[in-house]
Amino acid sequence: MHAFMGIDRLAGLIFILLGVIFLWLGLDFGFGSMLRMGPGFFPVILSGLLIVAGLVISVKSFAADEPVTIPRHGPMARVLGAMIVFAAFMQPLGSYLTLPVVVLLAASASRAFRWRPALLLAAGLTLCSDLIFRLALGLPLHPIGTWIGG
Amino acid sequence: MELLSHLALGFETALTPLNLFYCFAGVLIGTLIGVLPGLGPAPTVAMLLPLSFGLPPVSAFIMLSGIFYGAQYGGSTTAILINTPGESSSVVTALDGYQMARKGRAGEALAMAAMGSFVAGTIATFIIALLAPPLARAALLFGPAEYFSLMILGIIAAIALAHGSIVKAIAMAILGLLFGLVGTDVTSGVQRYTFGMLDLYDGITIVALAMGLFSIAEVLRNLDDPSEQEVAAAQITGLLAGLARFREALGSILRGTAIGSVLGILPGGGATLSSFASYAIEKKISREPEKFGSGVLQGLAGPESANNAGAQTSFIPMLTLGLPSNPVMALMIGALMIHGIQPGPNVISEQPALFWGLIVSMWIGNAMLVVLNLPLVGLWVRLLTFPYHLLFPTIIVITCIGVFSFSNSMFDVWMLIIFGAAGYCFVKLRCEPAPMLLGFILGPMMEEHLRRALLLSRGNAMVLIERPISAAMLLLAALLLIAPALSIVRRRREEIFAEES
Repeated sequence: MHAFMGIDRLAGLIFILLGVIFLWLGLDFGFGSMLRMGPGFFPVILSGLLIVAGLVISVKSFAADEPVTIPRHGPMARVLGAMIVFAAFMQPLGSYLTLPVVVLLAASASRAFRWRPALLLAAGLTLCSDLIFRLALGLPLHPIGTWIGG
Repeated sequence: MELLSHLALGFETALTPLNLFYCFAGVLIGTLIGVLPGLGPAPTVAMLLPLSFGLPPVSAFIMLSGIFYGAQYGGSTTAILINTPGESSSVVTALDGYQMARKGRAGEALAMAAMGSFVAGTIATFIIALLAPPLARAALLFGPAEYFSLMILGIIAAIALAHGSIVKAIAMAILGLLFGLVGTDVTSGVQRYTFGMLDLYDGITIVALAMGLFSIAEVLRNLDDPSEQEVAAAQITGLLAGLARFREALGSILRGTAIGSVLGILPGGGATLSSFASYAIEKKISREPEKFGSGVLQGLAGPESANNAGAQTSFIPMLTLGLPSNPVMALMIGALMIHGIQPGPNVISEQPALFWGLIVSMWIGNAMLVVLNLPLVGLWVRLLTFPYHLLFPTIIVITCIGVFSFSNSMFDVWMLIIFGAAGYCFVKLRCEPAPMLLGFILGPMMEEHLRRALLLSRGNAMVLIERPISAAMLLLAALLLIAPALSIVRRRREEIFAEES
């Protein structure tokens, strides 16, 4: 838990940065005119407003702000990692191999993680999603992926 | 009577075995998921949205609405039994409801919440049936300028009545509008913000954005919370005693319903504000205001009815104007568009079966909720004890599968991951994600209306303030932003909180 910046100032800077990116890209679309709005008209105006809003937030942050606290990044990394495993390996390896890893990795993000219930959950969810999503609802969740002959 | 023939059409649609089944399924699944701690209506609807895409539009909507009010209801159960409001509108329910449960009157509280919700739902359903058609007819007179201003008003109202910093909420809404523009521009065919990626040509998938911002970010936030704890549910006794005391609370229920119905129609009003307002009023007119917060029946029945009525009538702007007043309605609009129905005043005349079937199904669904909930409450209690450390991996898996199967595209899962991480960062920076979703839905529509308005006025931007209705709406939006009334609302809410804590 280490504070390095106010949350309002950080939020303001992020909005300004995003606004600048949207503006910079939006300038290429063709602004058009008031009579015939080009594809760039609305994005440019919105990006401008976003930058203004970001500036207001940043300026206001000098009056009163609370420090950013960096949350424990372990849980976040594990949950997002589990989803990345899903996105990367679901098609090549198939649900039977991928889902248990996804469940175990996600479950390990909790402080209450225990191997036994987590393994049971992994097996249960893999089986249930196969039954419900693939067999009952007919979704394209292949049990065995393309890399291993599915 | 035109209304009667419309209602007849509604009953005809809603009472087909198929639609009855989907209504029941929606209510059941909604309650089931909504009861789980930490899952409010918005993530529930987002998570279950893909389930409805294979269905015919009418059935899909009946089910989605069922999921919505089922989740709303389930949230109250959670609030009463374990003091963990799944969403802001249940915060008030928890004040007196949880105190009742702690005093061994959990059954009474649950029965009262069910009856209150049912009465409120029934009355609000009639209000929709009476109000929506004339409102839609009035909206048909709107030109593009009026629509543009109406959408500005909708966004501003949603921002002004939400909690937290207004400027941040505005920035989030603008960011949402910008994300809504990603994809091929319909008029010129220019690719905007697609970086040449084929998957972005049709824009960002709403399911990926909504689930990332709500479901995934919510999971990450809950994991962050050091109080991530297992819960012990209270014992349920006295369901019948609750039914017997119905007469005592009837006044509160009706007052709550009236407040909720009015505030629900306002864009951005919705469930939260109405439950706060109802609680304040009940406390004010009570003979024993000092007892509020220690388990007063009226303090539960009023807000619970208000939040249900507000949730119900928030369908009115969505169905008649295509204007979402809360994240759930934004998702509903997204679902309408996915089914190829253009949201707006034409929905009622072009899709009468959808509209009237939906309304009648709401009433049937509310009745089902009562029947379902009172006897099954024991089951819900057991669900409450489902530990979060097993629940959240389940949410992750279902969300990923839902997003993937929605368009059979892994690209959307990557988007889900990005928006989940971004949503979590925004929450940490005290930026509410709800305005962003509203903006995302409204972005393309606002651009189109603005373009047409400017074309019709020969490029004169003053058209927005020269047309009286449009000017009035913009004025109202401006007032909402600056009015001192706002600070009164804010202070009011803080007072309520301060007194209870």
